[in-house]
Amino acid sequence: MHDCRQTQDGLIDLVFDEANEATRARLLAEVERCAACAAEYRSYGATLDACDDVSAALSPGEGYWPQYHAALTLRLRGAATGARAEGAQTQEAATEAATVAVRRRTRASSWKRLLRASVRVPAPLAAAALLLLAATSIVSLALVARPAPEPVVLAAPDAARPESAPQIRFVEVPVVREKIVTQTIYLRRRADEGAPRGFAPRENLAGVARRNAVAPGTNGANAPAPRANFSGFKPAGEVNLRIIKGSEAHEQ
Amino acid sequence: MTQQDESELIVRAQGGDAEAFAALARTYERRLLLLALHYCRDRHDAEDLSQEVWLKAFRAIKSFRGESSFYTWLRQITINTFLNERRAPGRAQVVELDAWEASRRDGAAAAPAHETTFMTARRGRGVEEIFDHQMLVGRVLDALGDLTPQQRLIFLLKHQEGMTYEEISQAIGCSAGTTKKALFRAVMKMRERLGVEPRATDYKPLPVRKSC
Repeated sequence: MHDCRQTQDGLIDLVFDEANEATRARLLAEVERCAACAAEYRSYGATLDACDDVSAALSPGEGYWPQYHAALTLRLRGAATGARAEGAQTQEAATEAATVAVRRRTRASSWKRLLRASVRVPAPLAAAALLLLAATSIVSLALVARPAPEPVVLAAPDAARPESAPQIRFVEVPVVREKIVTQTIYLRRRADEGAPRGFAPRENLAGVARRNAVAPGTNGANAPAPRANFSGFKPAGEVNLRIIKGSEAHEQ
Repeated sequence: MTQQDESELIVRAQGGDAEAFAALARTYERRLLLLALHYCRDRHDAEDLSQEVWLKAFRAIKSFRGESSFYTWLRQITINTFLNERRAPGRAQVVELDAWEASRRDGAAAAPAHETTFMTARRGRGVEEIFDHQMLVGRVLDALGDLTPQQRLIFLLKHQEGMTYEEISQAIGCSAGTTKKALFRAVMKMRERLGVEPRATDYKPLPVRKSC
């Protein structure tokens, strides 16, 4: 049964003569039977015919070729000359490299000669030189082997030390646990004290307590506000009193 | 040129003889330039590309071992050079073709008898026919320009050079199936661009095309 798609897939092989004998015969038979496949085949052929026609038109005339060939020959000669020059350059480079290698070898051989050089010396002189060398070596070794003396450190007196470099000492000090009791006492300046401000003699704590204490036998009606006293106050440790001069108003 | 002459020229060219290589080039230069011209679709590009191929071949002639024919070896260099060519796609100019036509006419006097007959026949065409022909040339070159470089090269290697699928696939480095597909697409595009539509009515059996 004819299959146009299958036939047309094979047409490209038929057109370009890639089909084997059996396939070719089958395809040609299909093309004979089917007008659509035949038209397809023909269109391929027409396309290639057009290309052939153009190839003929594109081909330059005879007058063109000597010119083309002359240009090509010229370029080939240039390439050959370039290659020869390149070859010559390569040869020059090789010669230069060889020269450098010879120079290096010469330099190396002079070093070797220097290393192998020898001087004739009379035997007694050589023995003396050897002895001298041995003695020097022994002395040097002895000096090196001797233990180094302890370095003497001169301690400068403390006073002489500069202040800029203080000596740090660590001293263990027993720490006593403190108990601080603080009581604030307000002292009212009496107006009748008379003494101008600034001239009142400083009273000690005992004097202040005595003055603030209520006198025995008085009812205390006209007495000023009760003052703080220290009766019965027994500090266990250190007593730290803070005396603020002025009235209670200052407390605000 | 006989095979022996060619072998002698190859040996001399391998020794660096540019003249011998030029003599060798004379045999194949037309074929190579025509291929380059179809590929580039520009005369100057085609000349440059073909001469580049010859120079490459001259530099590499020492590597030619005679395992294949000289032209097969040269064609591989051509394919590699074409594939590496990255020029902007040009378009063949009708003016250039006219100039070539003029060179063809100038050379007619010096051409052999059979060629003279051919050219005389072509010269005898009418103006309208020449115009139509130039239009066709332009259309074919445009159609070739629409193909990808690989499709174009495959099409030319098949149609111009008559290489088999296997040979093309080996030369380009792809499978035979890929080559066939590329060729099919190229023919389809060309047919479409040239306006050659299949017409079922005017069927005439074609002779089977034989490759070169």
